Parts: sequence; structure tokens; C-alpha cells
Amino acid sequence: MFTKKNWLLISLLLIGIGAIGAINVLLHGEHVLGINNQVPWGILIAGYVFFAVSSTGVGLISSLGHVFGFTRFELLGRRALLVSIILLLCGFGVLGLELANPFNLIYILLSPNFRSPIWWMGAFYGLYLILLFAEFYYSLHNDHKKVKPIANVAFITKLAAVSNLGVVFGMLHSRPFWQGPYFSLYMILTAILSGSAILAIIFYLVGEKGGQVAYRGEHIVISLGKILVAALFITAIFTFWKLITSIYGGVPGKYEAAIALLKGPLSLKFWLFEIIAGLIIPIYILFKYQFQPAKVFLAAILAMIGVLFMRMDFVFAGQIIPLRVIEGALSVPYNTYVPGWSEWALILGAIGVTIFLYIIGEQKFKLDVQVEEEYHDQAGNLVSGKAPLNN
Amino acid sequence: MARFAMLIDASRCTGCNACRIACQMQWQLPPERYFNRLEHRERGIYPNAKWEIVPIQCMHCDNPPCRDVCPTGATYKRTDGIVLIDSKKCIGCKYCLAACPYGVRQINENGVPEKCRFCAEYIIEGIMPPCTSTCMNEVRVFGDLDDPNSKISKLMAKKEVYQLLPEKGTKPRIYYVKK
Repeated sequence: MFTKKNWLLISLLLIGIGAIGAINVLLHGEHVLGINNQVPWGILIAGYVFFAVSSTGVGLISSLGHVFGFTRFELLGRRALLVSIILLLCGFGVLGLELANPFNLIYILLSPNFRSPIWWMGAFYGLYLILLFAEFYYSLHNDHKKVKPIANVAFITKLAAVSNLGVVFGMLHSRPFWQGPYFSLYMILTAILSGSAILAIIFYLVGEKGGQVAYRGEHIVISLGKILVAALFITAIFTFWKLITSIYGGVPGKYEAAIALLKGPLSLKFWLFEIIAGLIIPIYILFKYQFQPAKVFLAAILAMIGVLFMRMDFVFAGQIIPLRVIEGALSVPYNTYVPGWSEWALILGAIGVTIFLYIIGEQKFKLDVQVEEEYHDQAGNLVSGKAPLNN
Repeated sequence: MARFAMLIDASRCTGCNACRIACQMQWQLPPERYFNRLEHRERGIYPNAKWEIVPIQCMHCDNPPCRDVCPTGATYKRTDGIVLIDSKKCIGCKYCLAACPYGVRQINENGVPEKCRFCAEYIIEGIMPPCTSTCMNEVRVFGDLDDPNSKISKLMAKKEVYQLLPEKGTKPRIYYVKK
């Protein structure tokens, strides 16, 4: 089922769908998107957040090895860097197609507004991308003297980038559901969730193909599954308290947005995809099957589907409540937004590009990493050093 | 230095929408796009209930969130207080739409979020914005707060006024007459 040919076919199909969507957007502009003056940010912004935060999350998990010296996670090294680069490029691609006038981005440099969180988002993620390329390059050349300092700077940069992404929403006093520091912390947390899930998916498949996935005889996906379950639990707690604090006291704007998620127009997506498929079932699978790699793989796929809908819910919930300029003014109960088919196509296309580029990367680069560890040699003696591949 | 502002006496508004149409004609806007709008609400309890209409447009805030969030400085505030958009610099991220608590921005055919300009090009020639001049009940009074002899300055001195959403910290340049 998980043959390279099948993955290539799936990715090419998705890229084809995405290309049609991209052509439609490029030919007809923003009018083909479902966004409007009341809901100016749609699923392409959610998609950008999905890809950018996932990229950062993969980076954060791999930092456990590079920066914090947990030897087993050094195994993730090159693959994590590669997938982090691909995810960030896909995020930028989705965002670029969402922007009405992307060529004017030159003014980010010519007339920067340092008060704008989006300016800082561009700066941090731009720097992060450069550092990722540098780290990947030196990692492939086994130049560890250069990899280490770059990884340290990259760690600070990715924390800055992902927490700032939360601030892009948190700075908006006009949108009570988003406003505040909560989403900065939430972005870091859910980055760890999506990062561990994506790496679990990749390393399970790599293991199936006979790649280097074991540390001291234990599949790395087991460790990733444990991080994933912790992230899922904490995300559940975050989500619970966010909703409780929004409902408690009926704070205008926050209360209605929470109700929209719980029993309003967003409730199907929220309960079915974000909570049941994305949190409850993965936690159940991970505990029931004691982190068996194949089951972690399944839980991680479900968690990623949940994360995609989590991003959409988060972006919609902030905008779904009409602005209350005049107390008691007549208005619709909820702002409406129906994504255009091109928007869905672009999200699918970006997922396709991620899979496709990763397969190409696996072919082009030597991604297996030898990790210092103790292992039993052929004679059965415990030896310290670099274990042979496929140990 | 001028300090342009607007005083709105909503109690005089009949809801005829002439302000909206005059503005649309001035700026050649299609019917679905408008820089000012009327919001309606019911106040009081029967038999003392009444229908109230409040005109809303860009508040040309002194602390405009749309300017602060714009990554390229496309939205800027002139020294006379008018908030404008340089569409050549706009990347179309729509952050200003998300940031404005008054919901006055509208995406145009080029993906640039537009809004009321206080008719910046006309007022320097002494021409009143059409939303002001077209109104049969003189709901809006536009003028320079730094000129003590301007009509708006005199009215502001006499009347009790308020601003919309002061809790957002935007310091709007549009004032409303308290009833």
C-alpha cells in the first residue's frame, strides 16, 4: 500500500488539483476565493498556519537532538530538516497565492513597518528558512562544527517565529477571541503536536523501507508517539480552558465565538474533526496499543487531519462573530464564509507538493544519520560508537 | 496645521442613504461597495421605544490599528489626521480588515482594502465631502478642530459628544452628539 509509486501517484494527483486551483486564482484573482469584507481570512490563511507551524514543530522536535543533546533524536536530523524546509516553502506558496498583490512584498524591505506582527513574521520565518538551508547543507556534509551553532540560532528563531505567528492574531483588539497571549503559547504547543505527528508518519514509512529508525534497538516512532500523546493531552487541556474562559462570564465576542465552535456553525468541524478525530481517537490508539509504531503512524495521520481542521476552526472562530460597533444594532448572528473550490484545491496541492518533494529529497540526498550509541556487535559484545545502518 | 474631524448628530438621520450614494458616486464605486453605512438599533422600552440610525465610516483614528498592523506602511496617517492607503505598497494581506474594530474596510477589484478618505483631495480645496454636503438634515459636520472659528469647533464646544468603541484605544476622529 505504501509503495513509492503509490505515494508519487497520490502526490501528482494532488499537485494536479492544486495546479488547477492556482491557475484559477492567478487568472481571476481574489474573486474566486470565498473571503469577504467580514471574513477577510479564509482557509488559505489557515493552510499557511498549518504548514508554517508544522515546519516549526518538526524543527522543534529535531532540536531535541541537535540543541539539547538527546542522542536518540539526532536520528531525525537530516530528514527533519528536509521536511521542515519543504513544509515552510509550501506554507509560503499558499500564503503567496492568498495575497492579492504579492509583488508588492518588496515594500516589506523598502518601507518596513516594525509595529506590524506580519512584518516580524516575514522576518523570522525568512531567517528560519535561510538557517534551515544552511543547517541542511552542513549536515549533509557532516560539518558538525557549523551545524551546532546554526542549530542553536535556529532554535531561538523558530521559537520567535512560531510564537510571533500567534501574536499576529493575538494583537487584534478588534477580535476578542484571538486577542491576548494565549495563541502564542498555543502555537508553540501545537507545533510540537504537528511536528511529532509528521515525523512519526515519515519515520514509520522510512522504517518500512529499511531506513535508519532505531536507537538502541527501539523504533524512534515510539519516542515520537510519546511526545505526540503528551502534546495531544496538553492541547486538549488548552482547548478546554480556552473555551471555558470564553464562556464564563459571557465576555462579548469571546462567548459567541466559543458557542459557534461548540454548537454553532463550526461545531461539526470542531467536534468531529478537531476533537474526536484529532484528539480523542489518537490518544486512545496511542495508549491502547502502547505506542506500537504502526499504530502511532495511524494516530499521527488522524492527529494531522485534526490539526488541519484545528487551524481552520481557529481562523474562522476569530472572525465569525460580526463586529459590534453599536451596542444592540441589528446584525446577522454569524458572518458567513464558504471556501471556494480553488482554496480547497490549493491546500490539497500544497500537501501533494510536500509529499512529492519529500520523495525526491529521499532519492537525492543521503538522509540516514549514524548516531553514537552502545550496541551489540555481531559477536554479542556491547560496543560504544556508531552503530551500523539498519541496526 | 489642520486637524480634520467629523461630528455626527445621529438623531437627525432619516436613513435615506443619500450619504452612501453620494460617496459611491464621488468615488465611482460599484453598488456593492460603500465607504459609509447606516447601522440600525431599537432603543428604550415600549411605549417609549424608538428606532435609531447611526452612520458609520472610517473613524480616521489617532491611534489606528489598521496603520499599525500594515507590514509595508501602505496605510498611513497624514499630519492633518486623515488615514489613507497607498495602494502601490499594499500586498493584499487583509490584516487591516481584520484589525479594524469598526469594520469599515472594503476589498476593491485589485484586492486592496479601501475605505473613506475624508475626501482628502477635495477638502484641501475647501470642498466638503459629499456625504456631508448632500445630507438634507445636516447630520454630519466636517471641519478643522484646530480652527476655533470652524463650525465643528463651535459645535464641539457646545455639545456633549462621544466616540465609538473608546475601549479599543483607537481615539477616533469622528465624534457623535450625545442625546
